Amino acid sequence: MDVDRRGFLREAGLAALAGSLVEAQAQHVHQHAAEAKAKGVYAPRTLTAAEYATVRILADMIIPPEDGQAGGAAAGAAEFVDVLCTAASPLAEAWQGGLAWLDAYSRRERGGVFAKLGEDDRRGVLDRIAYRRNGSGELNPGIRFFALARQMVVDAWVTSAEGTRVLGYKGNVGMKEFSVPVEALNYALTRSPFKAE
Amino acid sequence: MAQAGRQREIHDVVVIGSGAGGGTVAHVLTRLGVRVTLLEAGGPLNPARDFKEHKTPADYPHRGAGERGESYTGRKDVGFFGAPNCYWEIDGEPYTVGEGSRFRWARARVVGGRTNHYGRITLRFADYDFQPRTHPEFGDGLGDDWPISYADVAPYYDKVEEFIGVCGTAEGIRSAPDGKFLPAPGIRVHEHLVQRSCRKLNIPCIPSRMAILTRPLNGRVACHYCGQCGRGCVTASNYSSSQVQIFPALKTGRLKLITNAMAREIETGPDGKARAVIYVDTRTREEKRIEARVIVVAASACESARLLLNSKTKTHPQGIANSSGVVGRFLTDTVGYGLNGTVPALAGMPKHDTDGYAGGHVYVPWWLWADKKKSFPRGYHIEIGGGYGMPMVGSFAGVCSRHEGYGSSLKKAVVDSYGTSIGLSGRGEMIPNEKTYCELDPEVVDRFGIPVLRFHFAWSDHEMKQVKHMHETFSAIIEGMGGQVTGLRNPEREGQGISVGGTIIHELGTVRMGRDPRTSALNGYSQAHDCRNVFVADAAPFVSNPDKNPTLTICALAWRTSDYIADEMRKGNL
Repeated sequence: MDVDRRGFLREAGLAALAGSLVEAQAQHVHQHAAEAKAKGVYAPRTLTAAEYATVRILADMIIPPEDGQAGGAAAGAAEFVDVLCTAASPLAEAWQGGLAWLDAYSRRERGGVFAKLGEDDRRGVLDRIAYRRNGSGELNPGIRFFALARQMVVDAWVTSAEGTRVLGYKGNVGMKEFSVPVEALNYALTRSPFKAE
Repeated sequence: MAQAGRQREIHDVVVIGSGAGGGTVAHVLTRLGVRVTLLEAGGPLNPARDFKEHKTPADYPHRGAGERGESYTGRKDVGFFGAPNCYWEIDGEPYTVGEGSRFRWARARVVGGRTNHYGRITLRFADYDFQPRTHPEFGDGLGDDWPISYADVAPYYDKVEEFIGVCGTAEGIRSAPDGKFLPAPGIRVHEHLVQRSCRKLNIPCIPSRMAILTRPLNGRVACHYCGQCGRGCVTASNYSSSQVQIFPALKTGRLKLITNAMAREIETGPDGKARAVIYVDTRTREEKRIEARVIVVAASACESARLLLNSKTKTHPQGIANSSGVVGRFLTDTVGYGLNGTVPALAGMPKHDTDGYAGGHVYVPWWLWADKKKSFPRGYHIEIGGGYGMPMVGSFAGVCSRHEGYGSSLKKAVVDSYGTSIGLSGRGEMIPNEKTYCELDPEVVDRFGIPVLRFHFAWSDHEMKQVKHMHETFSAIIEGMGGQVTGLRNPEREGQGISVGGTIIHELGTVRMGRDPRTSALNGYSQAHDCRNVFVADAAPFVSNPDKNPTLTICALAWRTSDYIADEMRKGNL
């Protein structure tokens, strides 16, 4: 639902960290992203090329391309992450630190940085950090990072034109009178405790 | 009237603040032929330029997270897409909170104030709400009675509703008096289910009463159901004091609007009458002074208290209107509690547009007003959320957190969850208590050098018990429709999950009215007992904070005060 004055605080892994940003940078964020879009190739501003490539891999693992639908990368998740990292240093720290942790863990456990691993090894790594129940002194930083990564990739996907279309949002248009289709109402009623009424 | 040369202009009426109260006063007085000067601390409003009504997250590289990623790092404003200039924190204009208290204060700085952003819920007080302490049927000995009655206010409820346009249905429920309504729109599927679940529990669930046009009115077109009311409405199909009252009042030629004007204090003369407003031009930080016959303070409840406390003069050593010492005291906010659930009956439903107007098309008015056995005083109404909202940053945070993992199953969980959740939000009455008030901070000033407010806030057992009741009721409603509670299932203690004070944004009561000048600041016309040409026209005069959103009553009382001011001016008493 829309962010309105009643639903103000969004909590994802890093809630309550104070953002700080030089005013000028905020203005450049828009400009930079718009320019990059125009050129057709996105040049990350805060993530390194290697970090950005890893984010693209994560994005397509979190929301995979399938059934002809775009995955997280095509939905612009890596660009979104770079834009937000440029906008807020706490997010840059979380991503840079998280990606560095990921590479160190991958090297130690699977013999190479995350981007260099094969599909199975990458899954092996994510299967550890994608669940709070695997919490341990060693894995906790990765679990915390992946919760943020998951949230932000999902956010990028659902807010993309394609993600919104796949979800089926049909609103923010004009209607003369408001009503809902009777098929929809009947669908819900027959599946509810009120179907006999 | 303006004088030539070096003589100063004496304004007839200066109104401080352009929200629901100030906008109503400006509108009513200019219609009655009175010249009004309206000061607004914030800047001007340009709906076509300023409202993001029909934008989507995909229009922005940050997808609505904000230019500084505030959705992830913490917001100062109330929301990226919301109408402009409403904040939890204003740079250069801090407030402080007493040790052991938690309070957040939302302030707007724009023409129209928070009426540009609010939920448009438009509820009359019940008759018994004006006599909570001593009502013959329901009085509970708590708090205080108003010095005015429903009968005094009802004609003004009529006027406001007929002028601003309110949709709803007549239901004959004592806790929710019927108004002058435009037709109510159709309801959403999840609202049908909520209604039926409520019916099984003998709880009323009726069409909402909203300051949103479903038919054209006074040159404004009807709502087009884009569901983005909180972002501002370019067609002024919902109520905002800016678009519905101030812009038309400007056309009369009798309203002078001064923006970027932060009132610092009110000056009184040796006779104790108010004679001028000192304000700061917020762009240049220059101090200015304007003289006035009558001053109406409508800066929002706590800002009004702050201004009066900062207006210490020889004749008013405790601040104007504060001979009683009550200014800043009797602060309350609405009791808030929310519970969400997922409803299997909605899973897989054919997708359709559920936007409507923003907010529930149905709500639950308080139904236990006559129950002598309930464990807490007063009551609450219930607001209902659900449907296929515009996907935003954070919309699926709950699913992500519950499902965890990654890949196809995560994506499926997100897609399958869409539209299956509903939210119930309780909005209840807080009893004023000794520990809840605001005062001037003894040390801190804002960037204009004006002493800031320090807030003290505490809930009492009354409110905690009310929240326990809300939790039990909401769980029953959700489960009654075949749903499952996804939020707090088993509260560890009574009242767990109660809102942080101030976050429901109905803070009020800080310059209360009453018959006795020893225990109140204002009379029944919101006129200061100790300074007869000063009035207060926001929610500061409220004696209680019933389970009805304050805006309609702010407008009604402001209209009534305006009629009184015009009458007194005509008689030469002001």
